[in-house]
Amino acid sequence: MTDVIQNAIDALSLGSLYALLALGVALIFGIMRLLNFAHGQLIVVGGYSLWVLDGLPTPLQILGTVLIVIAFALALELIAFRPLRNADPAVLLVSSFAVAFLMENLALVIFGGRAKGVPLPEWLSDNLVIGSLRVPVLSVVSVIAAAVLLASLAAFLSRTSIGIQMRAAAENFGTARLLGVRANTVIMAAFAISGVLAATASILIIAKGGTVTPGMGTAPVLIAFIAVIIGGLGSLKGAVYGGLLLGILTVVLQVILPLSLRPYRDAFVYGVVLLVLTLRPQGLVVLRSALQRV
Amino acid sequence: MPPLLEIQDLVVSYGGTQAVRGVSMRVDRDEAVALIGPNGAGKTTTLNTVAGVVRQAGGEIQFGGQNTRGEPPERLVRRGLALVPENRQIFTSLTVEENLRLATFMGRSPDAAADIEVELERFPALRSYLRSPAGSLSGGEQQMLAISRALLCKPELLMLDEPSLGLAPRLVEVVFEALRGLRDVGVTILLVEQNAFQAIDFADRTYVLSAGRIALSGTRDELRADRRIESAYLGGGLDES
Amino acid sequence: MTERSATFTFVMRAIWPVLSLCLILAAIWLIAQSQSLVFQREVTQMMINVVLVVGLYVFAGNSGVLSFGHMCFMAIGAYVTALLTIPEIQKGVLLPDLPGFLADVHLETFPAAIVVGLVCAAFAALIALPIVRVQPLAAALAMFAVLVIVHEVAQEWDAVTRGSRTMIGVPTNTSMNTALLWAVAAIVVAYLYQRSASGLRLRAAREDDFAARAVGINVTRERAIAFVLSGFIIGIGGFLYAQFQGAFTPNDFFIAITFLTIAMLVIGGTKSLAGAVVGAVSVSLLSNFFDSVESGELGPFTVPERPGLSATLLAGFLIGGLILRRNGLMGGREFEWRRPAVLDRWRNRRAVADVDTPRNSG
Repeated sequence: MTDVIQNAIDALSLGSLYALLALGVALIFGIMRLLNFAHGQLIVVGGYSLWVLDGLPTPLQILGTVLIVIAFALALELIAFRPLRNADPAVLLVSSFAVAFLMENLALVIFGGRAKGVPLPEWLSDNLVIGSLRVPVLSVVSVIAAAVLLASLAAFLSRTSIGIQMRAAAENFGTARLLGVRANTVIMAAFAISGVLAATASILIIAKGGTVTPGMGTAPVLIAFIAVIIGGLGSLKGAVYGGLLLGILTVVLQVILPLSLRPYRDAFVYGVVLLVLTLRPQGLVVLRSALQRV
Repeated sequence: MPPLLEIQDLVVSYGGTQAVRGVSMRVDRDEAVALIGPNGAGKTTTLNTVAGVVRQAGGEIQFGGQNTRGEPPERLVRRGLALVPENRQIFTSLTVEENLRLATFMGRSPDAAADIEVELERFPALRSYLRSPAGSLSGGEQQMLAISRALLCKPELLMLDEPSLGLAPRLVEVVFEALRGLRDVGVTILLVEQNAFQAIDFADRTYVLSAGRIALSGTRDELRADRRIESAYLGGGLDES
Repeated sequence: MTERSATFTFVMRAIWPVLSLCLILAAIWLIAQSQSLVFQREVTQMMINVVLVVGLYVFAGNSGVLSFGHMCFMAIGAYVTALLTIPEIQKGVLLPDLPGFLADVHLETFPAAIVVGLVCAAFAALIALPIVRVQPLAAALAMFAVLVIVHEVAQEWDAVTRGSRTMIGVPTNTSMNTALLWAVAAIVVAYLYQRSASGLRLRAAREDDFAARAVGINVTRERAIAFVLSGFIIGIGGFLYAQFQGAFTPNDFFIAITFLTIAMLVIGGTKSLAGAVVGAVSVSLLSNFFDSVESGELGPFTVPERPGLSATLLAGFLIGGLILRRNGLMGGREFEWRRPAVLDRWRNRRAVADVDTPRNSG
C-alpha cells in the first residue's frame, strides 16, 4: 500500500512538472499557432542562469533566473518570431526548430559540452518522513509550484484585462485586433508568462538532476509537445491534462516494466502515445474552435 | 466638410487575383451608406481593407482626413473606426460580459460600466446571458452582441458586414431597427448587405459593387426607380448588360 | 516547327526536371575527379545528403507534412547494414549476444542495400498510421517522438547495436561513384513518384486538403504510400552512410542530422524535387565552409576552434533565409525545359534565308 501511495506521489509530482512544460508551449501555440521548439532551450537558459548565479542567496538566485529566462523569451519573440509573424505553421515550426538548434549550439560554444553541476540547497534534496512514507521534498515543491502557477494563470486569464485579451486573441486574433487588442502586447505577455513557466520547470529539473548541459532541452520540449498533442492542439486545459497523463503514464511504466526493459521507459511512453494517436488522432480534448480552423 | 471616409481607386489582391479593382466611394458624417452587390463582388474585401485587416495594393483610403495605409486594425479602431465582421465572430469561449468588456479596454470611454449598461438597455436579451459563454447565444443574439461590442468602441464610423446574414426575417427587422436607432443618435454607418432592398431603403446613399468595381450609385430615391440594379446583380456590371 | 523537333521538345520537357539535376551532380562528380581525396570524401557525403533529403522530400515535400523524425530510417538503415555486412568473424566479436539468425546472416553490398531499404520501408509501414492520420503539425512532432524512440532503443539495445558505444567494422564500400549512382537513382524514383497518379493526388491534397477529399482522394492512403517510399530511400541513405564512415553511434542519427536535412530541404525549397537537390548541394557546401570556420581555418587566418560554431552559423543562416525568402531557392519549382530565345532567333534567320535563296528546281 505504501508503495502505491509513494508511486502516486511520484506520478503527481512528475505530472505537475510535465503540465508546466505543456502549458508553456500551449500558451504560445494558442495565440500564435507557433509550436515553440525553443521552449526547451529556455529551460537550458534557466539551468545556466542557476549555474552562473550560484553563490547568491537562493531566493536571489531563483529570482535572477526567472528574470533572465523571461528576458530570453522576450528576445526570442522580438528577434526570431516577429519577422515571421504571418508565416504559415510549417515555416514557423522549422524556424523555431532552427532557433532551438542555434541556441543549443551557442550554449555549446559558450559553456562547452561538459555537464556543469548546480548545487542547490540541502533541504530540496531531503525527504519528508510521514509515517512509513518517504516523500521527497522536491515532489511536494513541484506539486505546490505547479498548483500555484496554474491557479495564478487561471486567475490572470479570467480577471485581468490582458488575460481576457489573450483569450480573445487565442480564439480569433483578427477579430480581437478589430476590438483594439494590440497584437504585440498580447504576444509579449504570452512569451513572458511562458518564460516564467519555463524558469520554474527548469529549476525543478535542475533540482532533481543537479547538472546542466546544452542538450538538456530536447527531452522536456518533446514531452511538452506530446502533452499538447494528446490534450488537443489549442486547448490550455488539454495541455495540463496531457501533461498530467504523461507523468502518470511514465511512473506507471516505470513500475510495471520488467527490470530489463526499464531503460526503454521513455520509448514505451511515446509508443503508448503513438498508439493513442492511431485510435484518436484529434487528441483527447477537442476544442470547438480547433475544428473550425479550416 | 470633408467626408469621414474617402476611398479612391482602391485596388486589393488576393494571391493572383484582384478582388477590388479601382473602387472609389465616400461616406460623409452622420450619413448611412450601403454597399451592395452579388457574392464575390468584393464588398467584404473592401470593408476589411478599410479596417486594416487586409493590405491595399493600390489607391488611397482616408479616414477622418488621415491616410490609413499600413495602419493595423488595433490602431484604426482607436481612431474611431469599428467593424462588425461577417458572421459576427464573437468570442464563443468568453462570456457575453467579457465580450463586451473587451471593447472597453482601449479606454475610449471614461465610464465603461455605464456604457455597457447602455448596450444592455439597447438589447435587453443580452442581460440574462451576461455570465454565459457567448457561444450559447442564438444567431440573432450573437448579432446584437457583435453590434454592441462594436459600439462600445465608441466609433465615429461603424461598419457592418452583412448583419442580416443567416437571420430569420423577424430578427433582420430587429437588427435594422437597432441600426435606425443608431442613425438617430448620429452614428455614421457603412453597411454591406446582400439584402439589396433593405439596404437601399435604410441608407441615404448606396453603392452597387460588381466584380470589384462600382457599377452604380445613388440616393435612396434614385435607386428605387433604377432598374439597372438587377443586371448589376445578375450580370457582371453595367457595361456588360 | 518540324515534327522531329516537336518530339524532341516533348521528350525534353518530360525529362529535363530530372536530367538537369543529374547533370548538376555529374558536373560536381567531374570536378571532383581532379581534386584531393578530402574533397572527394566531402562530395561523397554530399551525395549521401542528396539521397537523404530526396527521401525526406518524397514525403514532406509532396504531402506538405514536415517530419522531424525521418532520420529514424537512417538509423535503422545504418544498423541493419552493420548487421548484414560486417564480416561474420568480426560480427561475432563486436556483437557476441546477437540472436542466432542475425549472427549468421551476411549479404553482399547490393542485396544488402535492397534488404535495408525494404526493412526501413516495412518499419515505415508499421508506424504510418498515427503519422498520416493526424494533423500535419501533430504528425511532425509524432515523428520526432519516433526518432527519440529509435534513438533510445539504439542506445540501450547493447546486444544488437552496441548501445552507445561506436559500431565499427562496417565495410567501407561507398565510393564517390556508388554514392553518385544511388543519388541519381533516388532522384529518378522520386520524380517518377511525383508524376505518378498517387503522387499527383497527394500533391493536390497538399494544396487544398478539403477540396482533395471532396473529389474522393484518400489522403491517408496517399500519404502512407509516400511515407513508405521515403522510408525506403532514407534507409538507403543510412546504408550509404554506414558503408562510408565504417563506424557510427546513435547520436549520428539524432538532432544534428535532422536539423541539417530539414535545413537543406527548406533552403532549397520544400515543394519541389529540384529544391531538395539544390538545397542538399548548396547547404553541403555551406556546411563544409562553416566547418572549416569552426575548426579554425578561415582562409589565411587561424581562429581558435569552437565546437558548435558551425551549427550555430548554419542555424542563423536558415533563420535568415526563412525571413528573407520563405519558399527557398527554387521557390517550389522544378527546372523547366524552355527553348532558349537564342534558338528561336537563329531558326527564324534560317527560315528567312531559305525564302530568299532561290531554289534550284528540278
